[in-house]
Amino acid sequence: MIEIKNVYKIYHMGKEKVAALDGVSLSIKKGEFISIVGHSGSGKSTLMNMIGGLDRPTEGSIYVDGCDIGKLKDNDMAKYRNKKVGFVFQSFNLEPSYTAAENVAMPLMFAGVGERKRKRIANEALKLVSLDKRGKHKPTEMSGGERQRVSIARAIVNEPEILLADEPTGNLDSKTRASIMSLLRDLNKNKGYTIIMVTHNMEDAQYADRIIKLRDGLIEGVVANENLG
Amino acid sequence: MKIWDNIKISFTNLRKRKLRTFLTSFAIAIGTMLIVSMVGLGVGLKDMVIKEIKQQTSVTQIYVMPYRQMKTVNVNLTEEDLKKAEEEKANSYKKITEEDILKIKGIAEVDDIQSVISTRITYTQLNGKKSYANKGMGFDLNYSVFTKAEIEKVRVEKNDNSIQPIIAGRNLQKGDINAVVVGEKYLKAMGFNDYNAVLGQEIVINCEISQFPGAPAVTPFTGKAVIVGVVSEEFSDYADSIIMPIEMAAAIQGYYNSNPSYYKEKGPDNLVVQAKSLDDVKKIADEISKMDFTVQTYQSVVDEVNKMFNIFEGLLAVGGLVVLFVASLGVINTMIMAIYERTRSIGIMKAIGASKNTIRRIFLMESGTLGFVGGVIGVILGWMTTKLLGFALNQYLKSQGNSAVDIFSMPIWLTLGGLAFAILISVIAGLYPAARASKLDPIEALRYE
Repeated sequence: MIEIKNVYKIYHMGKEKVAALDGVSLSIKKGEFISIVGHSGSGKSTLMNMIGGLDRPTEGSIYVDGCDIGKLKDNDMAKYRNKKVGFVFQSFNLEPSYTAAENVAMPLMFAGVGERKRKRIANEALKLVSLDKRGKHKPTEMSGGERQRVSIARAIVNEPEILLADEPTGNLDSKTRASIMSLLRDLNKNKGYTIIMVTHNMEDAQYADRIIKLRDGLIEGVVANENLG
Repeated sequence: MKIWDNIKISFTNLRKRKLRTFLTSFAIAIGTMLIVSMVGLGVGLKDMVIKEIKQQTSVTQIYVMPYRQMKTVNVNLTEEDLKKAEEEKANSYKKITEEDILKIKGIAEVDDIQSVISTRITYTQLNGKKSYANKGMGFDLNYSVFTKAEIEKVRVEKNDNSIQPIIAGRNLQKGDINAVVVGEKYLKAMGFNDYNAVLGQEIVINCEISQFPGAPAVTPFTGKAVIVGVVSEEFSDYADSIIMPIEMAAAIQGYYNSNPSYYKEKGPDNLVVQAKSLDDVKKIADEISKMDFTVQTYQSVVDEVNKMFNIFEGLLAVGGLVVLFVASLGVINTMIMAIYERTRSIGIMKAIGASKNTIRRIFLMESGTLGFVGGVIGVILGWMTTKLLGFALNQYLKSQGNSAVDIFSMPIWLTLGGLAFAILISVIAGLYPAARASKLDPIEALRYE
């Protein structure tokens, strides 16, 4: 479903060229749960941002369902981010002045869905993350785990195919971390979401079907996770 | 994104920063207030002056002279030029015929028409009393003596809808021959106060040509007529005149010009054509010009006044414009601040699917909303200012024994225009910040603390 072909990302730092990605090729199947691990600066976030349509490769292509997303126009790229992928961030990135339900409904708003329908769909998404009772609360009134659930609900509200999680448990304690990870695992196994997760926590990485190790912009190794049945 | 969501977002964002929103839009409000009240002053003054002109002269009247359209006018006023001009004038005389009048009357926008010969009377005799140097006005009784517009004008001027031109007896009618209507002032000057008593009396009209010593004597002209009515002195154009059938006035002019067939040759002195409305004046004047008669209207005077006041309004509005311009800098500043504060939020919006256009729209709507809020406050302030100043002015005028005036005008186009302008200025001010926000790199924006 996702075909990454020889992707480079080169930044110019003054006169020096720095390769964040130095020729990465990878293919990800539909319904797969991938974790990308590596030190900071290994290029893992860059790779994820490219799959998510926030960034474009300097060279090479990323095909999603046969479409080279690096060549999409800005407007189509925004549509791609809106419909095809959902982002879950380490720091949740919720709008503090909006309620949980309003936060969840935001992607629908950009998709042009009317307010009433938005509310209904947002509440369904909140139910999926077991927060249907907290829809009217603001993020500031919620715990870290709850906030991350809201953020996950927002990511899946438009029913995308791919979930992109950038260190989703980085700001959480170990107990909440496990519950968020099993939620992601559940969404992957029971709802069929393809999940690509960046982490440097090896414990979290174990939830994935495959673990990709990145170092200095190159794939150092791919480990199929045999712990899972 | 739906427009309604767009509006809601901008109000939500502006509410979060109430003081800043208020201060920014208050600057816009002051500019709008200045524009609205100053242009209101200009419009009010213009309306006042034009109303005055309309009361003074019949702006809906078109005067038709029995001359061809003048071609060139020589400005070198040498004696020869003057002589030539005289000659040309004589040569360009063109009689207004019965057919011409009917043709003009046939123009759809013509409401009424008068065909007139004015003359002077050396002296008149009535009931043994004499009055010297009277004005005679001859009307073609196939057309009007008093036009509807003339009567209306006097009624508006005196604020009395019951005013009639004839206060005793009757008006001249088609077929009257030796009948006249006399003005109230004329009678008063001669000492007659019982107007009904003069009805049916005989008036003697005497005209004489000044005799030069040695020149052959010319027999004076004497005409007799019966008074059938009296004209109210409210009709100042008629009040000191003897109003008569055009044939009688023509006979007097024929006597002065030693030309017994004067009317047949020369026709009426002029026509007064009444247009149905001010807007029709130009069309009728053009139509008559095509018939090659010289035409005079007051339209040009009104046009000139309009033009002058438009310039005046523009000058008054400049102050407001300057303030609005400065206020727009405030809008730019506020919006750029908002971008810094909301960089992260812009990043999130982009990540979850907001396009560049959507971000631009959100920021433009927000700056437009600043303009809207400021515009509404400004229009209300402007309205209050004009009411307050108008009230104070009228209090002063009253204390000085003058009647109240309405020098401020606040027509709906000015109110809406002021509001629209405030919004427009703010949206323009928002263009740069909005473009900047839309161009933010989402990855950078998400990293922004």
